[in-house]
Amino acid sequence: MKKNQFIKRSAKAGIVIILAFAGLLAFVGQASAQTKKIIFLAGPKDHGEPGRHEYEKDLRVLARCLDSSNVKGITTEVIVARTPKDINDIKDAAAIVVLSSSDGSSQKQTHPLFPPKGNGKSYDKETMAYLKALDSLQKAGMGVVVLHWAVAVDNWAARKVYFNWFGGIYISENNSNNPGGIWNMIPVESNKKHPILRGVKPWQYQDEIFAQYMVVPQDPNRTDLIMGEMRKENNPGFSRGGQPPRPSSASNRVVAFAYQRDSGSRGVMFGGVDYHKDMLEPNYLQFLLNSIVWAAQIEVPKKGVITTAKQLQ
Amino acid sequence: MKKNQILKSVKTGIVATLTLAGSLMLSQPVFAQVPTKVIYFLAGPKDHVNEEGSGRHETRRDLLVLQHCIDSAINIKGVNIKTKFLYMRDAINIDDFKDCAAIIVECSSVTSTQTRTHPIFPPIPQQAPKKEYDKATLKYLNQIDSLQEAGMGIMFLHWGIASDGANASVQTHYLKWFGEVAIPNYTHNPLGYWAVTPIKAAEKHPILRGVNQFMYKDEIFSNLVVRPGDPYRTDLLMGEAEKTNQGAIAPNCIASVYEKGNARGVLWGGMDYHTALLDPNYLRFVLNEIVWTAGIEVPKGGVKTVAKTLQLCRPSTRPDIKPANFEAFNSGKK
Repeated sequence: MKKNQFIKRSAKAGIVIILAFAGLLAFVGQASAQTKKIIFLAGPKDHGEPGRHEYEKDLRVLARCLDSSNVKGITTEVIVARTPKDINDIKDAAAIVVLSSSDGSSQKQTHPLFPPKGNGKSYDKETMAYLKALDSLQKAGMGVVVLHWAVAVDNWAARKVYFNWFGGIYISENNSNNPGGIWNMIPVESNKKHPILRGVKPWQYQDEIFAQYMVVPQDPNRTDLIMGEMRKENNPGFSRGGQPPRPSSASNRVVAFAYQRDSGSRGVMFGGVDYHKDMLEPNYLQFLLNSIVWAAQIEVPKKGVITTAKQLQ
Repeated sequence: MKKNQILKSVKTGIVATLTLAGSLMLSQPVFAQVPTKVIYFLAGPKDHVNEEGSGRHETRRDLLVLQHCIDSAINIKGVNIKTKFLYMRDAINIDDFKDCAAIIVECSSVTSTQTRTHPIFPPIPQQAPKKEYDKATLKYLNQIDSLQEAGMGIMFLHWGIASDGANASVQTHYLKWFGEVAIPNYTHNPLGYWAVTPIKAAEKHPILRGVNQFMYKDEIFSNLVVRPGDPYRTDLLMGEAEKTNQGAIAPNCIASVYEKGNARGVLWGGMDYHTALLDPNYLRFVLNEIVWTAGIEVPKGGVKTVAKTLQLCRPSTRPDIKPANFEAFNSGKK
């Protein structure tokens, strides 16, 4: 082999190898970019009879449903009773889903994101720095879905964070409330094209729903998704101690809304998810799964997220 | 007198009586169509930002001008309006409100000091459990609820709308009366030149009659929160400001009204500078709000007044730089 031929052939072979390697790298990169991690954060089960406030079990069912769904490229992780004051364990999450009691429900930490409410106004420096990092993480794209009593945070510094993420808060002391009973849930007609409502039809079920949120008027970033109402005829009450039954009701109200921050980050606030058995209600389940997928910046399938998971309880 | 003559007299009497009764019946609806509505203007003390007459937080003088404007309104039909002015009201009973169609209140916040600043709410008891009022005060506030439900409109202006940091019962009453409330860490009061635009979807609301976009200087208490999807609230104005003492302010809703059954409530967080009353669109907006709050039909084109005295303060001599688009915006250009 002449010297020139050898150099030319070697160069060609080198280029081919480099291109092949680059192609492989691009493929691997693309594949990993398509995989999104969703982290489920369950608070401790700190109250309620079996079958209610089953934070961990509810979230494990939701994670399983996503693992077995028509949305590919999702990995899931469930963390129980999280208490850290740094963001290292969630910094690679495309979305976090939080189901717990409120930060003000106990002197111990019950909310996976916020410590006990303390003085109700602020926290120590370390915690404030943690909240700042948490907010930056969300602003950079991490979606957040908050469910049931986790919608309620009582420390005003935590409320400010929620305000950034959701454009609204639950104010337990003078407005918001959590009626329990048989609810009629109806997707908001004017927003039925929102991806979260794909495939979701009205449903009726038993739940305790934290709602009557306070939001910003005329906020273009918020989309109200579900109206809920408890009618007297569906909630006749029980006779106790010889007293006649007292029907309960709750006025028609927004019980779930989505928020897309100016940065593009997404949040969903929904105060339902009390009874574990509700996972058996297909429209409710689909609404929850769509919400999680949307918050993670994943396209919600045309007919909504459909799961083949068998064990929903 | 013969029998026939007696009969004639009786007939004549009956006819006269019927005629009189008829004319009375005819005239009665005329009286009924002109009800009297009494509007109270309640000013809290001028308790900050220089002395009275210096042009800001002129709670008393602002309301006196507004009262004068309502007294001098020329196009409000079908109602006889009476106005009353009360300065530094400190009652905790409703005896003075019983004939009232609306109360219009300008003052500092209930949380601003431990002395009474708010004509409706006593100071927050700092030492009480959860800073709550005593039973008598709570009863008084519930009586105001009842008055509002029966048709007494309530309107608060400027800092009087800010209840953040108050106790739960104050917050609850704000929500009940106005469907919106101030909250800590969010509600603010930027001061600068505001570009104010009526909300298109609300253009048929009576308060927006005759109100065009306007730009003016104000410190506006804003960023209140509301219930999503509340059918009783109507958002009226959007406001934005390129430059304020709190940075640039993106477009946001700065004025809403609440109507539930007979109850009407209005919070308007502007009305810092006395000179704002010289802006015709601003003045019309506030006068329309007052009239609407009192349950009076706002005239087509908005309330028109021939009031001569629109300023009770000396004009400011401090230099002031208006935004470059001030004239253009006020002439209707974007």
